[in-house]
Amino acid sequence: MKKAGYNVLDLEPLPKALQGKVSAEVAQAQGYGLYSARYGNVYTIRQLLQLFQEALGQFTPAHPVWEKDGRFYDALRPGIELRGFASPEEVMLHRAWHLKAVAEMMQQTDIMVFTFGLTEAWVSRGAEGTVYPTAPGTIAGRFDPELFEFKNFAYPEIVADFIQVRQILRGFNPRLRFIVTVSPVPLTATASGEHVEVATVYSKSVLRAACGAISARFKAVDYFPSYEVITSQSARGAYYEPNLRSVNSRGVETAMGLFMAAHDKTGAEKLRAKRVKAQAEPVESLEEEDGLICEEALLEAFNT
Amino acid sequence: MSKILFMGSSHLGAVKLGYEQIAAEFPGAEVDFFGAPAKVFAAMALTEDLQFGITATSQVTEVEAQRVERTFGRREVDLRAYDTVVILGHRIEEIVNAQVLNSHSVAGLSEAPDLPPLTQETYLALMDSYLTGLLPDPAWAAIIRPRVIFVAKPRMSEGCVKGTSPRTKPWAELIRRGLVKGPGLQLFLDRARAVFADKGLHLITPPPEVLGATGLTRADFSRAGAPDAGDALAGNDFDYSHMNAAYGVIMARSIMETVAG
Repeated sequence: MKKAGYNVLDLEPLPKALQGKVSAEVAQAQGYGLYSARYGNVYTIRQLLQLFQEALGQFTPAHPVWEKDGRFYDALRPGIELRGFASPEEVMLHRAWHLKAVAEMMQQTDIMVFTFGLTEAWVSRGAEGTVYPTAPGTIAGRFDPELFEFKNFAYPEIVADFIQVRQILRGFNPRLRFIVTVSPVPLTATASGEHVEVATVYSKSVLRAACGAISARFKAVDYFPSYEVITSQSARGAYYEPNLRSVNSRGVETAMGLFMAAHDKTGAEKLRAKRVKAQAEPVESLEEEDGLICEEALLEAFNT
Repeated sequence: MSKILFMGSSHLGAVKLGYEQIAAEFPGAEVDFFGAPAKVFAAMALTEDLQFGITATSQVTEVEAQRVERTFGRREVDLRAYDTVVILGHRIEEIVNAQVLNSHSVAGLSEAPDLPPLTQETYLALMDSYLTGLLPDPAWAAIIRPRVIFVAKPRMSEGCVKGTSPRTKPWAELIRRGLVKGPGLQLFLDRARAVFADKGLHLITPPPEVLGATGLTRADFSRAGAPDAGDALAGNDFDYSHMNAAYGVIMARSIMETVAG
């Protein structure tokens, strides 16, 4: 979408001086350039709801810091700092800045794109269980059945959570619109006790049904069928990598091509033009030396 | 007799002037020079048979090519004739590091409560990627003989704190925050050398003795001299980038020690 000229919000960008100067792979490994803030993958709508509530000071996650080998991880986005943080205090300092960015993002958003990924999650035990993006003990932390439990979100919960997310965001921007999709990536494993194929179909079916319900109910919610594009039998599996799980570049191109064709690009082009005019002098020019001065420095030394 | 070629951009000038003053210390060395202003030097090409210079495909004007020929007596040089080739003025863009240290609170390097935090691990991962992008063409690393040594361009001179242009402001801000003498700049240089070494390349960075109290290159090493308080040149028109013969003496000695090592 960025390449097509859409104004994709990024409230936690790479340091400005390094933009366009580090490899996308390295930047993304540090959580930059993937989403509109460095929150990593948000698999469930409950996780998104809790993130927004936390950014507004309405929710305090349980067990927010996980430890592994003397390093400390943000339990709500453990993949962001690959080597972890030096201390729990550093985790919370970074989280505070992250939440500030999320709050700003919520205020600035005109269109929100959310992909429903999973129904399965690991949550903290208690009345308002904190949803974690990974199981405790995988990237970091330790699984303690007295502290954490498995949860498979049901259709009514997902719809209700989305309605809450919508209410929060429309409190900032009553004209806010949504594009919702379902991830075509199947489960690698399940904690439901079912076979992973059965668990995948159940999970995707629930998410797809929830998307259908909310897009039918709210005018400002559009469902984009990337899930169907990728998983359709007519695609004969051609849009998956050999691992039959990851979507290949052809699949991404096909889905995004349809997306671009379906949505008005002229507005995006206008935005792009506006941004180009407003761009500051590129950073790389800062050490460019004046040609005349360079010439003088050489002539002086070589006396020609 | 060791044959050494010093070549590079305009920063070649200071080292040439400096080397002339200490040449007697190295009776076993025969030194040649070849170079051009940065834009022309960047347009020069290296061929498979180790000829380096202006080729038919170089994007330079005939006037620029003639100027190189007039100054150095040739448009290209045969690197096979040398034991060591020293390439001066390699851009590692310390100013980018200065900007990052100014814009972020990097743990242990530029901590400030009002700036967005950056862990040192992430800072290093990003900087390593950035520096990797500044490596010379892999063809240079493939050269077995002559030995090739890169020398980083000088750090901006202390006089730049009087300037207000985009190329001087990051340094002034870094000095204001007392960070130029901190570990951030040294760590960046250490990483630059390590990234080069990882590709089999040798990078020489300016030694501590060329730096002044602020951590930038001493003002009296600046090619145009140190600006006085009321110097009309002080400000954006002052040449903070190029250094003089005194700087060149220190760099030339550092280079020759590396060559001997």
